[in-house]
Parts: sequence; C-alpha cells; structure tokens
Amino acid sequence: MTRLSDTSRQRPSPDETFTIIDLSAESVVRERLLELGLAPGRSVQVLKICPFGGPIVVRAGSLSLALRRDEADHIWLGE
Amino acid sequence: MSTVALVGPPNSGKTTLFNWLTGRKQRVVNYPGSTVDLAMGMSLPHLAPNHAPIQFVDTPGTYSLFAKSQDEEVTSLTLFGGRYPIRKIAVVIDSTQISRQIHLVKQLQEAGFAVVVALTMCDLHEKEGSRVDSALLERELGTPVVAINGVLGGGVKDLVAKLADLPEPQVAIERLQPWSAEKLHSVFDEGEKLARRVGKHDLKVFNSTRGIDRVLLHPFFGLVFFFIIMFTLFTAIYWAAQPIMQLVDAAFALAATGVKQLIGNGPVSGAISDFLGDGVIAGVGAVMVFVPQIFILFFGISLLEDTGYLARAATLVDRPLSLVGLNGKAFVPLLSGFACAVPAIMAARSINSQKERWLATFIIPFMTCSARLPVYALLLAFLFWGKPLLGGICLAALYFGGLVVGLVASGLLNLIVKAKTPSFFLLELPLYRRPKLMVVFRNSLRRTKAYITKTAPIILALSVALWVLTNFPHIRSQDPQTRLEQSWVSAIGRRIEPVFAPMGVDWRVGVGLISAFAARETFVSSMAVLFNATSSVAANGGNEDSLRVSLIDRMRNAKMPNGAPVFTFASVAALLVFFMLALQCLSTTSVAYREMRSSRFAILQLVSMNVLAYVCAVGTYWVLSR
Repeated sequence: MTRLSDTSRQRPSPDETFTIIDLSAESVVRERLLELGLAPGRSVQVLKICPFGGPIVVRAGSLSLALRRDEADHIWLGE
Repeated sequence: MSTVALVGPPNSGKTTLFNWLTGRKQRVVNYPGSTVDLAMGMSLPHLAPNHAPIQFVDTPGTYSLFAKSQDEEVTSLTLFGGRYPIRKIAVVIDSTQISRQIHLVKQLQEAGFAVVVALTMCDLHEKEGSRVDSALLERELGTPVVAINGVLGGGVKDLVAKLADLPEPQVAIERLQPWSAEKLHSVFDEGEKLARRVGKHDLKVFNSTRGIDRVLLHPFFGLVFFFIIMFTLFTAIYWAAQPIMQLVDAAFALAATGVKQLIGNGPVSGAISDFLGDGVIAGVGAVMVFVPQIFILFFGISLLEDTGYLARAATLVDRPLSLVGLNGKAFVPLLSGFACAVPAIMAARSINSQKERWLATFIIPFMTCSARLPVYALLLAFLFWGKPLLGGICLAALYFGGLVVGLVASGLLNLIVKAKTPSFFLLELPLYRRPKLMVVFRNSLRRTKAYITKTAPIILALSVALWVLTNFPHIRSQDPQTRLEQSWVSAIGRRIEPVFAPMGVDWRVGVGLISAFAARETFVSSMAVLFNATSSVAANGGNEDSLRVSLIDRMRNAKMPNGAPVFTFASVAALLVFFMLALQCLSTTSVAYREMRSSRFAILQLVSMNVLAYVCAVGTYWVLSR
C-alpha cells in the first residue's frame, strides 16, 4: 500500500493502473474527492508529476485532475 | 414570473448555454452577503413564441449541492436562500462526463426541484460517429433531457419549451442533508453503468487531450510553451492595443478641442468649455483609453479558458505560487494585474479558498499596471534621455521589482493571516476544445462593460474635482499660470509640502502625486499643467511625444525656492520607486472594498502600500543624494 504522493519517486507509466484503497483526508477534501469520483475501489492512473514538488495529475475514468502533494498524501493506493 | 436556475459543474458549458438563452440582455446581480456575481437574463422572445418569457439565473459552477467553497456556497444560497423563488432547474451536464455528474441531477431531484437536463458537448460524440441516447437517459432519470449544441445553439428552443411545460413541483423544496459516502458511491456506480449505455465512454478526444497534455504539461517543454503563450498574450496587451489606444486618445483630444471651440472662449463660456473639455471629457477619456487593453486581456484569457489551457497553466505555476501562500488559481488574477488591477481583483473571485483570495487581492496592485507606463515613460525619459537601452533595462527592473515585492509581501502576510476555511487545491483539467470565438467575444465584451461601470464614475468624479481645485477660486483669470499658482490645489500643496520634501521634491510634484489617485497616468497631465508645459502643445492637438519633450524641458529648468533643481537623479529615482509600490488608484481601492466586502481590508491595503512606497522613496532619495 502506497500513498499517491509516493508515486512522485516511483514515476509509474501513465498506463499503469492503481486501485484506491483508502482516503485519509479530512472531511471537506475527502468529500470533494468522493464527489469527483476518487473513491475507494476505483482505479486511477498517474498521468504527470510536475517538477519541484508541484501537483500530480491523475486520471480516473473520464476525469483528469491536478492535485497537490498534500492532498495526494491522503490517497492510499494498491496495485 | 418564474425563475429558472442554470446549475452545473465547472466547465460544463453553463455560461455558453446562458448566452444562447438570453442573448446580450443580461444583468449582473450580487447575491446579498456574497462577493460572487450572478448573471440574470430573460429568455429571448423567439425561443418561447408560445410561452411567457422565462427569467434565467446563471449560478457559479458546483460539483454538488454540498458547498465546499465560496462560489459554491452562492449556488446553494441562490437555490435555497429564498431570495429568488426557484422551483425549476436546468441542470447542465457534460455528455462526456455523465458518470461523474449524474449525482448532481439526483441531488436536485431529491431536494424537490423540477429538473430538465441540458446535455452539452454532444458534438464531441457526433464527431466520432457516436450518438448520445438522450431518450434512454430521459427514461432512466425520469425527467426531460435536451441535447444542446453549444456551437450552433441547437436544442436551446426545445429546452425553453420543456422548461415551460414542466409542471411545478408539488413538494416543498428543502436543503439536502449531506449524502453519506455509501450513497454517493452507489449513485456513482449507477451513473457509470448508465453512462456506458447512453453513449460511447472511451471517446478518442480523451486520448488526444492526454496526448496534448504530454507536451503542455511536460516538465521542460510545458514551461517553454507556457512562457511563449504568456509572452504572446502580454505582447498583444501592450503592442497590439497601442494603435487603438492612440486612436481613442486622439478622439477624446479632438472632442475636447471641438467642445471648446463650439462653446467659445468668453469669460463665462470659457470656464464652461474648460470644465467640459479638461474636466469631463478628459476624465472619461482617462477611462476609455485603457479599454482596448482591457478588452484584449479579457479576450486572451477567455480564449485560453475556452480551449482548456488555463487549468494547465494554473497547474504549472501552482508550486512556485504555493511558496508564498498562493495557489495556481491566483495566476490569472496576477497576470491581469499587469494590465489593470480592477479586472484583476474581479478575476480573483475564481480563487475558491478565502485566504488565498485575500492574499492575491492584496498583492495585485504591486503588479505594474498599464496606467504606470506613461509615468515611467516620462520619468525614465528624463533620467536616460538619449540612452533608450538603459531606460529599457530600468523599465524591466521596475516590472520585476513590483512583482518581487508583491510576492514577498504575500509570503509575509501568509505567515500572519489566518485561514478561516481549509484550503485545498484540486483542479479538474477539462478536455481541450476548439474555442467558440463568438462566445469568447461576448464574454470579454461583458467583462469589459463591467470594468467600465466600476471605474468610470470614480475616475470621472476625481477628474472633475481636480479640475475644480486647480481652477478655483480665480476661474475668471485669463492666465492659466496665475489661476494655478493661486488655486486651492496650490494652497493645499504648499501646506503639505513638508511631507514630500524628504523625497526631494516640491509642492507641485506633491500635487501631481495626489492627483494620481484619480488614475496614475493623470500624474503626467497634471505635471504638464503644474509646470506649465501644455500651453504651447495643447493648441496643436496635444501630441503625447511633443508634450513629453516640452515637459521634460520644463522639468530640467524647474527650481526650488532656494534655486536648487527640483528634478535630480535622486528625486526622480525616488518618484519611480514610489510609483512602483504605491496604491495610487481609488478605483482599485473601491473594487477591493466591494469584492472583499471589507472596508478594513481596503484601508489596510491602501495605507500599508502607500506607507511602504513613501518609506522606500524617501530611502532611495536619501541614499542617492548622499
């Protein structure tokens, strides 16, 4: 189990699919992630990692979303 | 009369649909207690030939009915606040995102509203030979669904008819209790299954968007493209607008002379024509001359927004801006600040976290707006006459200096200001689309109008006040020099001279600096009046270059009462520093007050920026005159 933010070191290919296992974000961010479709059980791909600690761009179904490392810290992924 | 709200997630094409529904007749209202505008308008007559017209209100984009930012709060307030009796809703859903957006429809239905679904972006399906089965969606949702073509306006008439025929809901409308994660999850699952039956879910346009993003979000090439795009926009704002601005300027100069000739030059009529020409027309001109620039700025930003690039730009600059407490969404407001702080502060609405919006609004006036440019041009020409390269370098340094001071200020304030709501940065990257030029044009026109109505009254009033102060009480005197020397403004100026003495300048410059509060570029014209450079130039139409030459000549010869020159290297450099940092623009202050709903904020910003500017200017003079 890894955090989404950890992928900045692993640099996975955009085709690699991860499954969201858990969201540990506090209420507002957590709710918004759920509303966007980033819920446990759904799969995501890591499209881009902006340099110097910038946002991570993920794809989940029809959604492309840029989120900060702070938010990505709270998204737990499994293979 | 029934009011229908347009509700939908960001980027769903809501505003485009609103424009098709209401045409150009729109008005902007501010929901009480909020800082976000709502656009309202009546349906165009030809859309509802057999029905009474419908009033539409365009709400800020929202992902759900459970608001998580200020603008989303406005949407819930509009729907549930009771100010507008809203019973029917047109919910705008992007047909490429049905699975993620259908829960908004369900939430609205659950709250009790009668709902019609307006399905946008259907052309993206059609382009790939696929079709959206809106009849199936209609059956599954149990409510009318209309496919809208945002480019051609297809389906809009049908939407109006369906809304008119839709019976009012029989139940009371109530604010929803937040959905549990489980409920949201199951609605999403249903939505996903439904979306697969309604249309193709793996459109090629997703792949092409990802392909473009591979370049535009690339760690190296992405930044290269970013700088090229921003440089192009900047060039357009400054250089492409130049000829139109000169035209506007010339037109107002011509109007002023025309009015003067028409009214004549008698003892009374002369005063009246002076008032109309130099007070009123010049005041209106001061606003209008920047309209071409503002329009190009809005056009460029709307264009980038419509293509989907703006979200990428915000993603790219999020990291550097986060270091000073801002986020990627502050980028557009800060960029707009280089044209004019007024639209920039209005653009800061899109920053949905309160603290970041506060910080961005605070530092926007540090960006070098175009009203500073005429002042810089004059002062740099004085310092570096015949050395344009040196002047250019200094100009760049002034731009850079303002930006750096602004960012440092934001970093410092970030440590002091407390956030009331948690801030997060989640930014959806929409599909890249070909921009709809008509929509972009209309949007920029609307925003330009808002700019004019916000700034014009203040600049006009101050310009008239300045005219009165410089011409009274000796309005009957034929000699402009005596009129000025004995005017109220000079009386005030001499009294406050001690304030400006540490900057190395006399009362006339002090008056110039105060007059610049109407609009910074007023400094140049008031300096011309105060140092009597206009008389020869105004006669032949007031060409700006010849005015500058004659003014610089006067400035070189200007002496203090003790015989020392007023304008030295040190005092002009101090003035440049002052203009770089000072918030000399009451339109900005008034907009900041209205947008932030806080007189404390506006006063704090006005006072602290001007105190900083004054201290730095005095310091500059002190160092350079040793």
